[in-house]
Amino acid sequence: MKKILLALVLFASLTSCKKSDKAEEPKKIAIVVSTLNNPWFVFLAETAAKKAKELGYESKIFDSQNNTALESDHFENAISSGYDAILFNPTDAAGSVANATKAKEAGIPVFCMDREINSADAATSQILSDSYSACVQLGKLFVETLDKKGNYVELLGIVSDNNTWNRSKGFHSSVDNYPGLKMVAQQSADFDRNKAMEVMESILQAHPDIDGVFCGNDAMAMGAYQALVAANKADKVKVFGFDGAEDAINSIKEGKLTATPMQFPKIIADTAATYADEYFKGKKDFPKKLPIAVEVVTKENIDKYIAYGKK
Amino acid sequence: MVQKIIKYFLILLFFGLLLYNAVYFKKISEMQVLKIETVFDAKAYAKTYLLEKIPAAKKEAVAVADLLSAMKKDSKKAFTAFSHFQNEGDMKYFFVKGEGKVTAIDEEFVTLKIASGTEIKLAIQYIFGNTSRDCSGIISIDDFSNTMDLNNVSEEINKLIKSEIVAPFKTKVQKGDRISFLGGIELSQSEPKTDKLEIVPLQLEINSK
Repeated sequence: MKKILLALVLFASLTSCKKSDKAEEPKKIAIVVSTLNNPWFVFLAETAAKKAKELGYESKIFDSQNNTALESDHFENAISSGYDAILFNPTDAAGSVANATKAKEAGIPVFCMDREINSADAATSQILSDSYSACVQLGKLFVETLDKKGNYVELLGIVSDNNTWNRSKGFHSSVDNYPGLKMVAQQSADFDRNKAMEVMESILQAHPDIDGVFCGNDAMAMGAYQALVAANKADKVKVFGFDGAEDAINSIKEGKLTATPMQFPKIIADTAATYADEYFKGKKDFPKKLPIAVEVVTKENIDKYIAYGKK
Repeated sequence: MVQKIIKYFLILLFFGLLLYNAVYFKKISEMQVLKIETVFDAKAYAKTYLLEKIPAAKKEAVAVADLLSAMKKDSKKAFTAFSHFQNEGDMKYFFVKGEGKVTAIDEEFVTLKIASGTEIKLAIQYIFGNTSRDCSGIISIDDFSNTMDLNNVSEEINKLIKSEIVAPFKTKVQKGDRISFLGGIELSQSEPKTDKLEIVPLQLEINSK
């Protein structure tokens, strides 16, 4: 009997020790990003980690390598390792819903950054760039730059990502009003610089006479520009990107790219980390979707901007 | 013997529980109906918005002359008082009403002179973007499961404006007509340009000469 009592006392003291240890441990935030093979997402993830640290939390960055199955593993990992919140940049608008739902069921809040999931309630909040509105503005600039006429090419991002279509649709909602502008090719290059270069090279063989290229992100714009340089067409063809990445901003300064809508990854990442902090402190009422405005950067207003944001 | 019966019963119960509801059958037609029901109908949503909700919200619109006067006085206050938006960016939207006399008609615009003598332009050719959707403040992003649906609403509203509002108006309007309108305006908060305002029409009526 004495032995049993002793065992019970020991067990109780051990569990209470564990509880108080957990209470004193800083909370942990998992940052799951679609890919680290793109400097924009590296900046997003590192900014989120920096903000989490400033707020007093431990964090770890998980790279999904644009693979929803790997992303799913990261979520399993984060849930079983006791992470308290997930800052999430999804790989797939539809396919990533299950992962966010899994975390929600485990009582872990998910805050989406930049990319959206097709669910109003799987994530606690989604902080997203207003890509559509930005591309409406970019489309207007495209029309003016090409003087309402000419042939153009569109390079799409990952086709299962909502940003790809929000950008494309916003752009076309402006440009398609002008029958003098003819889209001669529209292909996906998966938001990837090397793939964009290859795709552009093959498009140029079929359509050597083009006046403009609209790319769904800056990495693809840089790849397309490289292909145009190789084909001796860089001076004639106007290239438009999307993101506000460092090399794109430098290229606009140098007159290589024409424009890029500037997303604000710092605002997105800081807001997501701050929301997690507020959640830990008891707040539960967050906007389901928070659109962050995007601003079009050109050679005329470049002085106001630096890579990934405003000066 | 009894032990064996209990053992087999427990094994059977275990597998029974394991398989219970693990496999079930449904007709493909039932699943297709479910899928169709969950597809968002942007066209129907846009139709209700433009043809029912907008006319019903007329009293919420600010008179265009009042907006111009408020802008002249203090543009920051005017933005706070009258603008609507989905994001915290530079571009904001206004839901306006007014009437005026047609002074010019070209391919892109019908120009009106309002009572204050100011000229404004009604867009009749290029109607795109989010002005028509966001100006009234009726539509919220939280009403949608994804932003593509929200943006499709803009596209459908703009198509409807062209076909249901602008097309019949263009065939009848003449210089000298008196027009009353409901519309949306997009303005930059950092550089609000209020001379010759461009209005996306949401409702147009030709009253008389």
